[in-house]
Amino acid sequence: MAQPVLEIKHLKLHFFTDKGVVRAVDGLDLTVQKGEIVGLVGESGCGKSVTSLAIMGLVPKPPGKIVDGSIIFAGQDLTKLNNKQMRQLRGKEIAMIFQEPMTSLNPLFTIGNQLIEAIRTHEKISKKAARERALDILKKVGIAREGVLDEYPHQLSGGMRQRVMIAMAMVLRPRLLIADEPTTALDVTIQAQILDLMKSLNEEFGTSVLLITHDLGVVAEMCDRIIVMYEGQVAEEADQRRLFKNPAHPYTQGLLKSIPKLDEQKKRLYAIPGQVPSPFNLPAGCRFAPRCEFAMEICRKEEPEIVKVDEKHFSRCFLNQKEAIDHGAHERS
Amino acid sequence: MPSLPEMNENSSVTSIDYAPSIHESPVRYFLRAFWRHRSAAIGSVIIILFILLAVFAPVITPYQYDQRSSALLASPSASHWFGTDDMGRDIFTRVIYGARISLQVGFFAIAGSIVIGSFLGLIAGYYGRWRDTIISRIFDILLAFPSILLAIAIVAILGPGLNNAMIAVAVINIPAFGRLMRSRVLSVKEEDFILAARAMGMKNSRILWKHILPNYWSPILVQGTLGFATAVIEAAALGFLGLGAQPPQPEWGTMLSDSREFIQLAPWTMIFPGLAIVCTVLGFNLLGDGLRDLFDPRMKE
Repeated sequence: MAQPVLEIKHLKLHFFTDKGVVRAVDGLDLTVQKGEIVGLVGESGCGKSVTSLAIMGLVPKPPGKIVDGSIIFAGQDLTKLNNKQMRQLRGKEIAMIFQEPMTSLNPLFTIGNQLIEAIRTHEKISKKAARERALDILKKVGIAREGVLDEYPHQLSGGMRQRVMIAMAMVLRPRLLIADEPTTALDVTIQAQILDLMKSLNEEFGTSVLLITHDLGVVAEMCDRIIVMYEGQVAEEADQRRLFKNPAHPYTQGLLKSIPKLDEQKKRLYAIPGQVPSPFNLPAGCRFAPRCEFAMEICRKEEPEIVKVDEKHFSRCFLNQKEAIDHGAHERS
Repeated sequence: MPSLPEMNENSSVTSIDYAPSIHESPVRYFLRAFWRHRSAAIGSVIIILFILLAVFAPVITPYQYDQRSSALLASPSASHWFGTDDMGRDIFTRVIYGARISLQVGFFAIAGSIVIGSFLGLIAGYYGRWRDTIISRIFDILLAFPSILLAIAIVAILGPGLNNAMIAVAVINIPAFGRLMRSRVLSVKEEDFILAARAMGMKNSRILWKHILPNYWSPILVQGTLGFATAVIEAAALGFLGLGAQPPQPEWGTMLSDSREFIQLAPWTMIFPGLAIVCTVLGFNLLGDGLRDLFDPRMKE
């Protein structure tokens, strides 16, 4: 296979605080191929957003520090680049959109001003040429009205603003787009439009997308491959179809079970029991063990390794290990 | 509909087109609110009046500010509206020329402390850590002195005179602007659009100038206007102590100090310069309060 656009190898990013060390990302492996949409799913605080900031080199240091591992983007290790080199990649090669379209635009400047600035940060072209390109990309994200360039963020709706953010991110045709919960703040109909838009831009430009979300519905609709994160580690990784049809990790199973279904009449919604453990005080053994209904003796003593369950399907669970030993994962596929 | 949204042939995305919104220009909206706000309007009228007096002083005044006449300590009359002082100089003329000095001192001192204070506050707030520690401690030290005492000390080092008084007033006002800027930067820097700007690959310096500084104009305008009032008082106080403007310069504080002996004999020698100070300070305070109300969205009904 061709070289992946992004390859994170065994990344460990810890925060050194007065209260102790928070192992926000703890041995994460992740690859994104060219043109692929990868979903990164997990509960709040599992390290999704920190991972995205680490790729952008925007983790505040201190207290954050990459302790181990590498982030390889287009052949170069981002963890070894200096500020200036990193700055040249940001926006141009790797772009990012954020959760809150309401606050991600500077309220004091017009949309056009900010779009043109985004272009001219990386390309030495005239304001007029930049304005042309800004108009062009706005059309691509579905804003056809030219006057928008001279409007201020508060004059636009949330969905429109997120379109503008996407336009800003895509205008330089980056190789990788990191979308950190891009639809969380939007209502459902707008969500679908924005996801459609991202998908169509992904197809048109061949941009790889790393979609960070806690919404499995979004992931099901969008992603080729899904990575489920728990407490800074990959719990399960599989392509979209396998993950939803045949989840291997009890955590993924729990997440899938907690999606309310319209055709079922239940009094109570399912929730994974227990709480995300305090990052200062991670349990010994498997990090999910205290909340896991299948937890065994070994789970509380040893940390499971990630094992191959199936073709392109990996899970970090002793249950899968047992299965893998019993049946042999390779025979199954 | 005037124009149908253009559909992109290779994207399935729906285009949205809204009717252009009817908006009053923000400047006109502000001016309207400004004139409706009573204290802002009164304050600005007073200030404009004083500025006009200062600018057109030679035209308005009937005498030279250091022109002596034989009428010593004459009470207010048709030929000397505010009376004369102990050297027979026309007080009306001197008060009006005094407006020049006070407004000048206020303007340059405040401009100086805004520039220096904002710069330091910006650095302290944005970069934080050791830069913040050093700068914030300097502010703390400056604020630990009673401000007029610090001003006296600075003038004592530099030597008395109007320019040095101006520098002293500027220095003692630096921490006010510095701290304001620092706190502003600390909150603005956490905004998502700053993170978004960094994610776009913008340089720190550019983010500071383009995205953080403009968010600071309204509090600086308010604080600057209010600071102008204190600067006028402080300059007058230095003048009163003989450390600011030197005779025969018609500075209000100096005039007050010169007329101390005649407070019972010829009260007009004190009343008019004193009133001038009061009116100027009141004008700037009213305007400052008004601006604060207008800029603070929470105060809007």
